[in-house]
This record gives sequence, structure tokens and C-alpha cells, in this order.
Amino acid sequence: MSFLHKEQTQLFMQIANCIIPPTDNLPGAGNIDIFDNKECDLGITPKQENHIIEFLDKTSKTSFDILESHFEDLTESNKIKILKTIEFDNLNLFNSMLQILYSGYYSNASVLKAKHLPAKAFQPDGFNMEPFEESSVTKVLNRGKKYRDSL
Amino acid sequence: MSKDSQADILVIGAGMSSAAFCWSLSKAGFKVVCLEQGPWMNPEEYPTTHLDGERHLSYEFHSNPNVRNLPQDYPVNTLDTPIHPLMFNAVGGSAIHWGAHFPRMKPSDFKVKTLDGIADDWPISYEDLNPFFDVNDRITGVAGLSGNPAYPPMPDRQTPPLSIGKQGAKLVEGFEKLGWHWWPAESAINSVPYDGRPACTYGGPCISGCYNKAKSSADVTYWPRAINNGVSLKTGVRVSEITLNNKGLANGVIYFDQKGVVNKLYADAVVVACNGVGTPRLLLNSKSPRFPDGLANNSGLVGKNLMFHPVAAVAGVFEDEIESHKGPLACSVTSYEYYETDTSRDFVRGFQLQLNRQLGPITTSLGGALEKPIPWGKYHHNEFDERLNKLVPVAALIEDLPELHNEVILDRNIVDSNGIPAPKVNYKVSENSKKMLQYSIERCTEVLEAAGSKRILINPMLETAGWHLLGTTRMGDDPKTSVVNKFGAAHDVKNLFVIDGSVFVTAGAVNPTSTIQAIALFMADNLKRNARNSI
Repeated sequence: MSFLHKEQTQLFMQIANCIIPPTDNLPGAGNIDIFDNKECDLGITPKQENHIIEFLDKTSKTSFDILESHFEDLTESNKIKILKTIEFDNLNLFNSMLQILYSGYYSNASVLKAKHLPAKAFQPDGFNMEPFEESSVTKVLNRGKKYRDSL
Repeated sequence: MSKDSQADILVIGAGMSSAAFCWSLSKAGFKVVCLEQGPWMNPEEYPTTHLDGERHLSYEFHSNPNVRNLPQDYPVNTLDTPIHPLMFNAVGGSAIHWGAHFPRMKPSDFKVKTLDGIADDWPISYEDLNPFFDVNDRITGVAGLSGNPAYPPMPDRQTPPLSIGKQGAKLVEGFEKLGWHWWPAESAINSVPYDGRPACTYGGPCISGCYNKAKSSADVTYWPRAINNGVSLKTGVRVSEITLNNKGLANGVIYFDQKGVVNKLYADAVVVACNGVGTPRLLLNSKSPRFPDGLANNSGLVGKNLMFHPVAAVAGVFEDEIESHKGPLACSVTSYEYYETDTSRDFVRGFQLQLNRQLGPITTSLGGALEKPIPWGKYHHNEFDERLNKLVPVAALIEDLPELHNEVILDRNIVDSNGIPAPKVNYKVSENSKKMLQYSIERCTEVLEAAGSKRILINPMLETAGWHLLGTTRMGDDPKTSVVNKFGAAHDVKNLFVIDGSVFVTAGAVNPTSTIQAIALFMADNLKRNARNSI
């Protein structure tokens, strides 16, 4: 997260943990470095960096405007309240943040392992699947013609 | 060929229609040159083979050119359309990240006016196209099962149907309980090795490219054949204008080469194959004193009658894991139970139901076809676990009807990287389509519940459904009500042809690629037989 300074990083982690919270078995999105995906060839784009910074600024401002407090000092329920306010007022920005967090979280090797998901590409391995059973269409055939003639 | 010409026939665009057309002409010895603004893609480099392949679908492999924003893309103004045009600019065109569902249009689709009293009949019929469908199927290699009672008889498919897997079998349970039609999808994907290309490995998702060429995009089917026959395909060049001679005939194009240098290429005939948005854009940008409102636009219909296929997405959540992620995204099970007009309903025409697969964890979290991310906060993990590999998403693809106010125009305030004005799409969903979407959602819900789903998720209409770009230079016999004749020749310029989905009169309710290619082959066949009179 080299594009964020220390205070911004702390705020980002708190927000990320509200959006994808930790559980007994899984880290929260703020507990992992979602930008550190060594096996990914796509990083965060400059446009997304700007969205994150805009989101952080908006979070800080909304916290002060509504609850007169730093976001980091709020109770969990009030943090959620602030984020819901931002979601309501700035849906596109909020969805951009979700895309960044979800994509990063579900690319993370520790998350995939904890969820028992294979860390492999779609291809070339693919999957084994049973061949189509052609006799399964017998009833469809028995139901008869299903198109109109044009003449 | 005239003394100034560098080609008998110059084709603009190297997508699915162009490839079939060029291959057909190349067999007859014509000197064919094709200009394509995109590059050749290297299948071995497709995101499909990358660990973060799903992430690429939000970046340089996004289906929307406005998101992708690659040098070969052009922007599209979508401020006034709820459905966004999707496309890809490369050899093979949008088939590079195509689902490869390959059904034909049906006989009734060509006679909408006669049968249902709406829109217009086509000047050609299913029977006219039938031999060209068959040729196209052989070159493409179609996986499927002959005998579908929703179609007239057709020859054996080239390879057996693709597997429908546990997910497909689950939906079939629903269809059978209700006694509805269903059939394994017609797929432009090898289920076993065919034509020197290997079988699908069922890795999915196809839309991020097929690394082993099992998917029959034109860059691996027609183009190698056409080039072997002598067709010259130039990539990375963008045509800005079609030019006319002093007799009002097309005599070539002005284009930008890879370095941005303006060039002129002369030809005896010019063929446009740039899709239902790119084709009217090029014609509207080709103004002259003879055609001040755009080339071949005396009818005023260039860009008009744009048709998409509006899509409703309905997903059933199942309790058991049903391996929803395995297999090609869009080629599994289809139903034509509600395809034809039924006068007891409050809308005309009909729709296709198509099972889609689910991709992986990133797409699941972002919602996929539901186009809404799963909830954030304390219920996030539960919702994710309930959905991953447990969804049966059904797409209802409905027939759009031609309407003059649905159109492609030029936006001179937005330009591509060569400074050429961009297209703007103005589109409204019709009342007929709205009624059909609602009815289709109810039918999707019915079949998913019959299959055992306890919870239904609904996206009433996809924003990212603009794959099928049709109707913007429609064909017809009357120059006042159409832009080209049934052979693709412009009424106003006899050696200018349009061969892509722009020529559709109506849209049917099937994925159009098979029909687009059959029409291109039909038009090429006519041009071969009548070249002396046509060019």
C-alpha cells in the first residue's frame, strides 16, 4: 500500500475489516495486504488508487460531520453507520471500493486456502465432466415439434 | 480490377462475418484485402491461463470497450441507453471473449410480419440460408445433438454435446417436472478433437479467451484458411472514411496505419463488417456532397432500428454444491418453450432460456450476471458460502423489435485515438420487451423452484447485455425502408456492401453469430456469382 501514508493505511484497514470482517477461520480484508498478490499479474490501477484515497477522505469527513469523531474511534455499529451513509450517497464510489476489496480478498492465497478453494487458473487443467447422456432427451422428443413453420 | 485498385474487394473489420465472407471469396480467386483495427490475439497469453484470470475480466478483458479503453478500442457514448454495447476489437472480433453459444435463428424469425403482424418480414428465409448454415457449421465445428424438436431437421452435429454437468442436470429436473422443452446447447466449442483443434477441457469461462483453441472463434477457424488462400489481412489499422469516385461508386478507404499516418487504399468494392455500432458509425462518418447525411443514407435509416437482446438474469440458490463453475460459461442447456408467439400472452414474440455457469470466487462475490455485489458486513461470508458453486443462473434472452428511435448516431465531442468521432447509442426498452422480461422472470423462477431451489435472486435486466448489435443498416427490397438489399449491397451505392449483424430486419431471440455468418456466406456466394454486375 505504498500509495497510502501510515494514517491512511490504518483507516483503510479498519474500513476493509468492516466490509469483509474477520471470523474464527478467516482473516478480515483489513488483516491481509489485499494488494500483495504475488501470483497475480494485475495490480491496482492509478484510477483505483484515486478511488481509495477519495473513499478515505469521504469516510473521515462523514465521520466528523455526523458523529464528530475520527472513524477509528467509533464503535463497530457507528462505523457501519458511516459506511452505509457513504454507500447511500456515493454508490459508484462505494461499489468501486467493493470491487477492489473483493477482487483482492478472493485472490489472496491464505483466503483461498482457508475457504478450501483451489489456487489454480481456469485453464489449461480444466475439469473432468461426465459426457452428456443422449437418452435423457427422450421425453422432450416425445412432447413433439416445438417450432412454427414460416410458410 | 480497375487500374488504380489494390484489391478486388476491400473488407473492413476481421470479426466473425468478415472471416466467413473473406474465406468464401478467397476460394474464387478474388484479391481480397481486410483491414482490422485490432491485433491478432495470442491464445497462450489469454487471462484464462493466469491465476488471477477473473481479475482481468474487470480490466483489459472487460467486455465493455469504455472500461477496457485499449488503443484499438473506440469509446461509445452510453449516457442514453440502459443496455451497454459490448464488443472486442481483434482478429476474430467479439468472438474472442464470446460464450460460443451457436443456435440458428428459426424459420418464424424471418416472417414476423406475416405470422404476427408486427415489424417486417426479411427478404430472405431460413430455407435460403439453410445450405450456408450447414457450411458454416462444418467449418466451425458445432457440438450438439441433432433432432431438436424446436428446429427443422438439420445434419448431425460435428461433435457430441458438451457435458451439462451436475448444474445442468439440476435444471433439467425442473424442465421435466414442468414438461417444458429443453435441449443441450448448440456450441461452437469442440467437445472432442475436431479439425485439428483439441477438445474443451471444461475449465471455462471462455469469455477470457480459450487458450487451446477448442472454442471456434474465427481467428482459429476461417482466418487461417482464408489467409492460406491468399487473403491479405492487415491489423492495427483503422478506417476513418469510405471514399467515392465521381460516378458515386465506392473506390476505397482512408485509414490510419499503426503509426497514425493517413493512407488511402483503392478497391473495386468495399465491404463493411464492423458490427451494429461500428458499421453505422463508419457510414455516418463517411460524408460527401453526394451523401451529406452519411454514406448510403438516402433512406435516413443508417444507424436506426438498433436492436439488442435484453436479458433478465434469474439465479436459483441450491443447498448442495452442484459444481456450477465447471464448464463453458454459456453452453449447457437451453429451452425454447416460450420462443414462439402465443396470443394468450400480453406480448408478441418470445424468448430463449439459457443456463449459464458461475465462474469463480471473484465473480461470485461481485455478483456476476446479477450485477450486484454480495452484501458486505457481517453477513458477507454466509452469503458467499451460500452462493459459491451452488447457483443455477438462467438467462432469459428476449426478442427485441426494431424501433426508429433506437439508434446509433455520432457524438462529435468524443473521439477515438485517431480523432474519429465516436458513436452514441440512444435506446429505450419497449413496452413489449418490458412485459416479456417480467413474464420470463416468472417462468425462470418457476423452473428453478421446480428444480428444488429455495431462494431466487433476480436481475430484472442486465446492463451488460449489449453483445448482440443488430439492425442498424437493415436489409430489404425497398430503398425507402432499408439500407441494403438481401445480398448486402447498398441501395444507394451498388459496390458497397454490409455483411454483419447490422443487416438484420428483426432480431429473433437466439444468439446471432451462427446466423450472421450464414448471411455473410450467402452474400459472398451471390457476389461470386454476380461480380461482373456488382463491382
